[in-house]
Formats: sequence, C-alpha cells, structure tokens
Amino acid sequence: MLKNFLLSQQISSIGSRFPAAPAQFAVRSYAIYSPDKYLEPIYEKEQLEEIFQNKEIKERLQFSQIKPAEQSRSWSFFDHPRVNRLCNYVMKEGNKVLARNLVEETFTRIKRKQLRAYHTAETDEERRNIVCDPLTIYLGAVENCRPFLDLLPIKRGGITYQVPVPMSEKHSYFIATRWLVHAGRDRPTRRVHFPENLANELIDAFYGRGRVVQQKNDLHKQCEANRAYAHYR
Amino acid sequence: MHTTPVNCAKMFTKKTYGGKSFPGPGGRYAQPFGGYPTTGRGPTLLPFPFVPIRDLKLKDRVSGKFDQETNTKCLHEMAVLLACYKKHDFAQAPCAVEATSLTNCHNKIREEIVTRKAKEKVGDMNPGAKRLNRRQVNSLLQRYPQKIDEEVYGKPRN
Repeated sequence: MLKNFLLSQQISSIGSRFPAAPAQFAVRSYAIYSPDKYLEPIYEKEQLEEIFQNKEIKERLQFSQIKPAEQSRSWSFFDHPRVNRLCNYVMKEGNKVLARNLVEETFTRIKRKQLRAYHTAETDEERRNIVCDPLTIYLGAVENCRPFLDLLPIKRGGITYQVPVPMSEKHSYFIATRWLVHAGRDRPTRRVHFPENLANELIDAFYGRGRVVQQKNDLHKQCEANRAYAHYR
Repeated sequence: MHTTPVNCAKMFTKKTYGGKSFPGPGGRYAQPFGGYPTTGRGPTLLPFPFVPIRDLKLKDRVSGKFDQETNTKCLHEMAVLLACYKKHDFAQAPCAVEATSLTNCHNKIREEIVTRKAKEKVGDMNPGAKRLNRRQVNSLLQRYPQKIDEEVYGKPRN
C-alpha cells in the first residue's frame, strides 16, 4: 500500500516535470442532438423570412432548441443540398476537401463537354437539346436513375424470396446517386480519371442512356419477374 | 499406446473432495447432488432433489418482437406500375403518373405508421379493445404482477 502510494507520488512528480500532452477531447458527433429534442436548422433564406413573418411559428421556434448549423452548409449561390450529398458520397476517409474538388472538376468537365458539343452541332435543333448547365445535368441524371421499387429478401417457409417493395423517395435519391458514383469509380482504364468518367456517366444518364439507367431498368425487370411474391411482405 | 489407469472408485468417493469444490466438470455445483461429477456417469441419488433454478413463473413483461404486421399495402399501385413498365419496355417517362401514385401511397402509409407508433408509445388503454399492443400488455402486467407460493414450489437456487 505504502509502496503503491510512493509510486503514485513518484509518477505524479514525473508528470509535473514533464507536462502531459494537451488533453484530447473526444470528437462529439452531430448525433448527440437527438431529433426529439432538437429541431433541424434552416438554411434557406426564403424559409426564414416566411417564419419571421408568421407570428405563431416564430413564437413556437423562439423557445425550442435547434441543432447547430452544419459547417458544410450555407445559402450561397453555389450551395445545393443535393450537390452536397454528392460530395459526401464521393468522399473517402473523411477527406471532404478532395471530394469537393473532385465534384467541382466533374462539373467543369461536364460544362466543357457540353459546350464543345454545342459548338460542334450543325443544326439549331441539335443545339436546343444540348444542356450546358452541369447542375441541371446532375439533377436530371439522378432523376432518371431513381428506382421506384426495391427487392427485399424475405424468408417464408425456409426459402428466401426477393420481394418487390416500394422505395421511399429519400432512399431512391440515395441509391441513384450512389450508383452514379460507383459507375464513375468503375473506370475503363486507369488513364481515365474519376471526374472524367463521372462526367460521362452523368451526361449519359441525363439523356436516358448509359449503364446506370440500365441498372435501374434491370432492378425494375427483376421486380416485375418477382411480382408474384409481392404479397409476402 | 500406454495409458495410465484411472481409479474410478477413488474418484467418486465423497471423502476425497468433501467440503472442497470438485475439480471436475460441474465444480462446486456438483456438491449438492452427492459429490458426483456431472459427467452423467455416476448413479443418480434417489429421491432426486428438485431445485428450481429460476422462479417458476412467467415474466411480467412481453417483448412483442414478433408482433409486426405484414405490410401488404400499395399492392395495387405497385402492380399497375409494373404492368406499365412492362408495356412501355421499362421507360420512365410514360409511367410517371403511376410512379407518383405509388410514391404517394407509400408516403401516406409511412406517415400512418409514424402516428400509430407515437400513439403506441404512450401506452394508453382503449376500453373494449380486443387486440392490445405490447405496451398496453406490459402496463397491465406491471399493474398486476404474478405471485409465487414459495412454500409449495421452493425457493429458487440463484
């Protein structure tokens, strides 16, 4: 006991001579703000103005707890929630700077490709079909790749059936974006960079062709083939 | 192959390990049953003492894990959408109306589930209801817990 006491004294004296490394605080995630106590922050300026005008909502919100605003969100001209999502799906190992750069590069390449197509087009009709806004192309591509049905493995009588079920809107957006990112990662050769490949996939998907639209159609085809199991859910 | 002979008679006598914990399988729990190892080799003492390990009663709560409804809704909308897809070779544009109707149906059911779960969470009793959810059953069971007559059934060992 005494020995232990002395030892601890010794350790503490050493500690005083060599000050310990700065205390490492655990990174507290956003998840600590439980959704039943905290409200989501509002980023859209128009929504905020609406709230300020409505007295009832304003009084209700004044005394309720609200989550801190996310660092990555803003209401600038360049901010878009779906583009933000794309950055997050592209991101690997939390490297958001790289992910944002890759998405920016992708959009740049889309713009360049579409402008080239626009200027090389010969007739006005062709030109009318060419969209040069990368954001429109990205949103349209996701909309075209969005599946409405999903297959859910359900066990009945020892056999697992792939049962078609309706997909929620949020999940379908997630699935479509993830498919696009995975298609972008699956490059034909190593010389084709990720932004280049993703730009190609997005443009293809926007015009309703390409691998990801095919993937969506395949899923729907499988759902159609398994429609007899729909009541198993 | 040469093996050392084991003196079984010595092993099963009470004196060898009396008072101490038995070194074989079963440990000290082998003691109340006459000092035999619980390998199933020794003869059972008769009458065999019945020692209840746990309370001889059911618990005052249910988990309700398997009380999940099968969600066979929106089937008509889904069938219509699939038929439309088959007709138009899985093109998206001609089946937009069917797709939105399915999405609306799904959203409606999700909202219903949320409101129903919020109601269930409160655990209020509906007088005259034949089918109770797990929170209602639990609140009833907590209000009238089961009793056990220890003189008849004995005290649980643990």
